[in-house]
Amino acid sequence: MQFLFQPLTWGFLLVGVPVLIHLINMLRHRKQKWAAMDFLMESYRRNRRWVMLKQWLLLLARMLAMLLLVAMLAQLVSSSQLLGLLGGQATHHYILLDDSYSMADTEQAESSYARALRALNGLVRSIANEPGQNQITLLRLSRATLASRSAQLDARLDSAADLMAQSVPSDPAKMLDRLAATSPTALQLSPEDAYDLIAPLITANLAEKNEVILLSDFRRNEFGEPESLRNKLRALMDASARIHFVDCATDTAANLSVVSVEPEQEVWAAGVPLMVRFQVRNQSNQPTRNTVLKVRSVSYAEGATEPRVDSSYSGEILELPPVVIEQIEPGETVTRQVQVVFGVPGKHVIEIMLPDDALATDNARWCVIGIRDTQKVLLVDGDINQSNAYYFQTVFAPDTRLRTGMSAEQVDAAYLRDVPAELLQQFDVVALLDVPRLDRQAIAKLESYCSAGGGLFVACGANTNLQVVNEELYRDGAGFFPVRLAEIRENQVAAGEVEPQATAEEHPILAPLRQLSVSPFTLLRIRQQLIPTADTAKTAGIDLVASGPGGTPLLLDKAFGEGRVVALLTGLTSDWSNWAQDPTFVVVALRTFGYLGSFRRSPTSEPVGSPLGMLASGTAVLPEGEVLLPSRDNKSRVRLLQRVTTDDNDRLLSRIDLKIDLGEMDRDIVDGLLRPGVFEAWMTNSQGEKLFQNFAHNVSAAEGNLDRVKQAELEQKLPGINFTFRTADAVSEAGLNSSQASHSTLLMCLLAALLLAEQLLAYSASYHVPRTAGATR
Amino acid sequence: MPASKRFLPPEAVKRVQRLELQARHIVEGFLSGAHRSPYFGQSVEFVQHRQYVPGDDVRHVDWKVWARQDRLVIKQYEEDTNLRCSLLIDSSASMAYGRSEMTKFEYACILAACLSLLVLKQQDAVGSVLFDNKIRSRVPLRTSQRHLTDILAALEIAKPQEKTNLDSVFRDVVQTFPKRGLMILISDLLGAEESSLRGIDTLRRAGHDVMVLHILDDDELDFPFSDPTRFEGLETSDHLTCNPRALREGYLVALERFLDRVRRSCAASKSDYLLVRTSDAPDAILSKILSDRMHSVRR
Repeated sequence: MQFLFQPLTWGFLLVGVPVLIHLINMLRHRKQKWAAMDFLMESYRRNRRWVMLKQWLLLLARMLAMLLLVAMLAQLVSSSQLLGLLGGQATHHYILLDDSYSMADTEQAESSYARALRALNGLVRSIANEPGQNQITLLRLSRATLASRSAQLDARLDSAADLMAQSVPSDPAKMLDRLAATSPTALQLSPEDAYDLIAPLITANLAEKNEVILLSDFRRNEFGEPESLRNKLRALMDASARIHFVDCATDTAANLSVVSVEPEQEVWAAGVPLMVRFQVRNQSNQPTRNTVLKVRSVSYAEGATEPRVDSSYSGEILELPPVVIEQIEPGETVTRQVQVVFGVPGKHVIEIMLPDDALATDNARWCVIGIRDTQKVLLVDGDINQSNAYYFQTVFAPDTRLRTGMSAEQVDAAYLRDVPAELLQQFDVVALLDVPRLDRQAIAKLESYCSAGGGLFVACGANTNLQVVNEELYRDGAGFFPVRLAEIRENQVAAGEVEPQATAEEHPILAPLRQLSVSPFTLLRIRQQLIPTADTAKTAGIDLVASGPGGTPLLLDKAFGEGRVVALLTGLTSDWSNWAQDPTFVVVALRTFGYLGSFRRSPTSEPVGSPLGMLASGTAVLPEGEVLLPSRDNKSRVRLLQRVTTDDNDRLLSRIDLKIDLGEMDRDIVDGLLRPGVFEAWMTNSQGEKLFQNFAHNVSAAEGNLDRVKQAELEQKLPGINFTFRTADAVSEAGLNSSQASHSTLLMCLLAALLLAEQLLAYSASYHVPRTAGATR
Repeated sequence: MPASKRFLPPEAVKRVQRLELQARHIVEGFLSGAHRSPYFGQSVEFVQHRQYVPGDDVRHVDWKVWARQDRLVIKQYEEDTNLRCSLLIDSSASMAYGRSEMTKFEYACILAACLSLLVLKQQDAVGSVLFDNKIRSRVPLRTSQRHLTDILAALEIAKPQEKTNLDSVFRDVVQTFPKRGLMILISDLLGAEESSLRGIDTLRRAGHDVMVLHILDDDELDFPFSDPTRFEGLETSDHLTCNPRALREGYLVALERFLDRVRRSCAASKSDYLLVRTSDAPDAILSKILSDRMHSVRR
């Protein structure tokens, strides 16, 4: 038997008040000379025992009333069997704890997660004091999401739940100790996975009372459009579960998020400047001014870097000039660029960091840029004089001192027929320059190459045969050529015409040219061009990069498998156009090849919690590798030793695979793998050289939107779902009070009955003077 | 304050002068007045004949009846006589009770004074006896107007004390007032109940016309006490500390039983009985007494 409001139990001392009043009355009686003593004595003798009995009963009733009143106010809760009979059947409490990173939102020095833990504490304590059998299953949403990918349901929930169907001890502090050390993850989480996990258990135990309690911050991301959630809640309700929501967040605080950090789709080569674009979003209701972003590049030189546990990164950190954003309006996303140059090949890192705000988790973002020595281009020229290839060679290597990061290999069309498909994979881009005809094998190899992420550039010209293109390269959309060609059109240019013949469209390749105030294409002359059929030019999935005279398609971009195909519907020779001599050709050529070469690259970052996989080939590797996890609060990084597996067929192909396994992994390691930041995987080859692979794991930017759904809106969006909605503060004080309320009600009823009995007893004891005095005449 | 003003409030005197006291029964007297005598003699108003018995005065034999009917009868006449009114005033300790304006004894004195004045105004004789367990003062019966001063002086010097013993006191009274008359007892009758009732009966058996004015305080009738109180007896050494509200009902029941016994005893002895509250106006009480008696006389 316990009381929720312990300080009020001092009120039990009030039990002595009726006795005290009685004693005081005894002392302060007045004296009265009296004539009719005989009648008084007779009344006393006649009623002495009954009066004494009633006096005692009255005193007891008043003392008991004080007891009940204090017990009711102090919220008496008990697990006794007697009171348990009033409580009824066994109750299973499913407590779902939202540990998405928005729960780290800190207001008045307390995060939403801390409030949730406080509410959890109050909740479990109140459950411990509820009568009858009570069991608790405690599940964090992150664990539910991770476990939902597992195969077996029972194993999934067992491994995911922090507490699984545990009876609640009278002092649940120890039970909650392990949770006190937890913190929000960096994941964006919805309660749907958790509801999915517990639903089978609830439907299998219909004999129990099931209470499903969600402690969350109710962000708009997850609860703004809760159609799917509503279906899951309805299923729980159909299984007679009672739904409770506990709101652990306070009002929306100001928060800036780094939404993305992404290098431009350009040439990523050592010594070549690279633009890194990043976006910052203001997720609050107030504009922010003069936001200063710290930018750091971390250079990992291959073969020259050792793993360093005591530092945030093993590479060399270079602080770049900070970027100042003058103003960001509420809800606005601002894009900025920084230029970086990595002098050596390697998996380098760029870090963008915002100043501290209410939610720190989304203030930093990373990307890993795989810088190579050069990007390789295969130029297949159909011109006998190889004039087309000459133009590109000139662009790629204009001067010995100037690096474009491109290296080209020049071949004829027959090369494609003979080259092994694997060898073709070494090229980042294959350029078909006015190639008259390709045999089927070559076409198949190119399609395979492109499907695997390779970039294919097709330039037309005098050798282009419309029929061949349409039947072999286009093949009604199945081939890599983007359009069916209808005709060759000759453009007549009037003397003195200064209107540009080409226009840069909205496309990454020509994005820099669109920003110019004056068209750079004023000197460009398109004398002949291939005109696609109207229907195919408008096919979905085909992007127009540049348009020619009269808005006709000139440069087209088409996705093919994982790669891309860019087709130029004119020639580079002088009888087709003067583009090869135009300054814009350099820009178009470099950006097109940089763009086409970007689709085979590994992603620069992945969501938090993604598996890590490092592949080393061409060298024998020691069987033990390691993974350095991102540090937390700038402490030393955790070193995780990992076994290196070697391919059975190729002894020189080794890999480290690391993915979260709730059943096998220690909880701290799981927490570490769920952190955002840069993970470094390290191997050692047989020569003692260190091999490494960096992985950037970033949070979902959407979770940084702290806009919340209030109770009224939730009720509106979850029609037909009966749920209670309470604040964390209320729950931490008194729990959900489902059966405790019945105790209070019981006590109140008893008190009312007792007070009624006291009044009757007092009336019976003549303590209430009748309205009409007993006038005896 | 002189006794005449203390016990005779002007408004009471004014009303008393307009009233007449009528004796209900024929009382013995030696002055002719407005009251009928129980004695048959030489009077103007013939009442009845009765059979002659040896020893009767032969002067009252109706010879005309003897001549006509040959039987001896005696003529009886109704004779007016003056009233002999004795006021018996209880001055025991219990009469000292009174929380409000006056004690029961003070109220009794006022009633006695008013009655004395009334009787003297109609040329009748009045006397008083103050008693507790014995007679403390006695004022003989007189008809003189100045006699009122003697009665008031006797009331003035009296102080309530001692226990009550009506039985022994009234035996003395009967011997002191052998002639029959109107005895007005003003008392709370608290004390030995049997003794009190026996005393009233003694007066009645002596042939007196008895009127009992039973004076009780409002507190004694209503018992309005609510706070814890220690009650200490005025005539006894008993005391009781109690919550009065708890005993109130039992007290009122016991009191009602007592009053009922007194009423029945008075009725049995054909004595007039009137319960008087000290909160009642004395003149109202006197009006009630006289109107009751006039009605009974006319009946």
